[in-house]
Amino acid sequence: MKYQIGNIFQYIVCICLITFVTTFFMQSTINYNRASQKVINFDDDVDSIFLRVTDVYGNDGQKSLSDFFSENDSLKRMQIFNQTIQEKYDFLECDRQSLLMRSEFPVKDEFREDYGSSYYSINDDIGVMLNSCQINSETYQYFDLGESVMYGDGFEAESYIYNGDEIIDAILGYEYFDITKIGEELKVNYLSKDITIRVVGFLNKDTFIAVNNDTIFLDRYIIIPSLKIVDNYIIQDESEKSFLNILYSLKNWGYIKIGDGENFFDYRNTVDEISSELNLKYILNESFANPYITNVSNTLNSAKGFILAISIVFYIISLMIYIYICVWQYKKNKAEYAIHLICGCSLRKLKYRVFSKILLQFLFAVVVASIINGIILGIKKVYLYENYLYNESISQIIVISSVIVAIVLLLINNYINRSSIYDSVCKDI
Amino acid sequence: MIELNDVSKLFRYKGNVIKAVDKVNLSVDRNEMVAIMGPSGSGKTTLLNIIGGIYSPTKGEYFFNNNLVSGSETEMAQFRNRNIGFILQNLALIKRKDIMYNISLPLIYARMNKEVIRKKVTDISKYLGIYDKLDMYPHMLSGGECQRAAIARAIINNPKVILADEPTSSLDSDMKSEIMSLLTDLNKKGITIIIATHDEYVSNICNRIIRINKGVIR
Repeated sequence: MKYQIGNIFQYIVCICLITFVTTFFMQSTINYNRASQKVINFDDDVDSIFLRVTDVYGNDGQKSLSDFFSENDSLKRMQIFNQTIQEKYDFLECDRQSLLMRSEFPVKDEFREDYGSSYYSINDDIGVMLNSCQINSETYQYFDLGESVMYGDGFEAESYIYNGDEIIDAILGYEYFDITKIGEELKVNYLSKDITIRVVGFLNKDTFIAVNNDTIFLDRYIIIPSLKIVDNYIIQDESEKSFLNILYSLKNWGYIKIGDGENFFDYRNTVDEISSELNLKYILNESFANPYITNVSNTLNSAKGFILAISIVFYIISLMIYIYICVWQYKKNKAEYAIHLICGCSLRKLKYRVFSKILLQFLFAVVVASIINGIILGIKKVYLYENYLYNESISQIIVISSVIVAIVLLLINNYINRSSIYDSVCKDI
Repeated sequence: MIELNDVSKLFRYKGNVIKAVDKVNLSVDRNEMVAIMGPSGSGKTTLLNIIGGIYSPTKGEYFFNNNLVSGSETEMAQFRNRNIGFILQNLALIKRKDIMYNISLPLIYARMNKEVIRKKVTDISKYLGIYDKLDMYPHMLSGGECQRAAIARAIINNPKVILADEPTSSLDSDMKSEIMSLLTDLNKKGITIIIATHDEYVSNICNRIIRINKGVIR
């Protein structure tokens, strides 16, 4: 029994050794490959940027948006997310869903969404898609649009409230001034719902809003409020539910402002936490930050190369120890292998047995290391980039392990071929 | 039954070529009990290993039942499993496995089912007087019991030939005579036995003595 325990103990030591170095190595590669922007430093002429909240529905391994919408409380959860994120941050909703106008209206071609594109007039039998922008009160205030209203009124607090009323306030861009007037009502289709927009004001010429480096001149735009449901609103029917689902999924694709020197990961993790608590799949899309990053200044990042180098050295040393243990184990078991051979086992079968133990040890170690790293990273989180890093590190470790296993097997194979197994049970040549 | 024609076996060791067996011509008939005698390093074990299909001759031909013995490693393993039973001087039992497993090893490689294996092991262990030791480990047995377990393993698959390499070297005189009487019984039952030994007591029991020195049969 003690011999059995001895062998099991050696296997456990081997597996622990490989698991530990594999985990450490994976962590190091994840850290090395992680986007270098923990703390964001902007160019001198940039004070802040906006990172957009997006969702990952429909992505690989995620449910589709329609499946999500079919869940009973999806709308409620999206509402709570929107409310929570509004309370935490300056959350700017600024979406550009076009409005479909079916009736004849003397609009200029330039007002059309498809103006200048190859899709121009393709869907004219359905109606004309007009440029429109949906903004919430934070966006309205942030860009001082109230100050830019040259004629009529701006939005009031009530303008943003959706209570089933199909008439919605709209502020029109400067170029609409000649073709419509205050108080006029236009019938349009917004997110598949027929609504009526009532013109309440016109903007000054060249009024614009700019999010990051995307500047939108509003002269040819219809600005409507990003609607929100009043508390305890009772949804009338399925089509209204569908409308509100789409509305809130778009509202939640808002922007969060991040200042110079702020910790990007704090924002990201907060969004992730809120989203996870509500079982939603919203993330802070970090790719929006990339163009603005000029350098990095954090200890972890500056040490990443060093940590990776240490992990590689550590990995190599551990592998040498592992190979030594394998050879030692083989030597120790050589007499036993010889007994198998004289009893009818072939050398090839014996090698398979030795090799499969090594393969299994590596396989087990890689799986355990992946699980440990998954737990460290939080595999349940939906961050695409973290998932990407995780998957990348798994791919890397599989490739590296395969190469290492191949080398170890070649060495052991060479050693087996060179050593005479029978010598261990035979006394002379 | 066994015929070696001009068989030589060379080994390369630290750059030198060692001639372990040199142009050996040997013929062993069915049911013979042969002793191969010679000093340490004379090539006894190498000769046994060639007969047992462990080593392939570097030169010459080896016929077993008029069939040339050669082939792939797998084929040679099958040859060993079907025809040869080995008894080795250092007992050669797997320490971390019980006696049951040790005895049944050739049957496992012969791919027999568990019931057949159990029956055969039971029968043979009763015959050799080690039935009550089956669930024990080798270190729990005496030298004689271990050797009987090794003999049980050697004969369990009904081999045509038993190759014994110094089977009595680690035993006292009582055990020595007991083991030799066992081997003699097996020989009477039709098994050809070839024993590598330098023990006169053992060789005197055999029908024929072959003397080997420096790889050459005298």
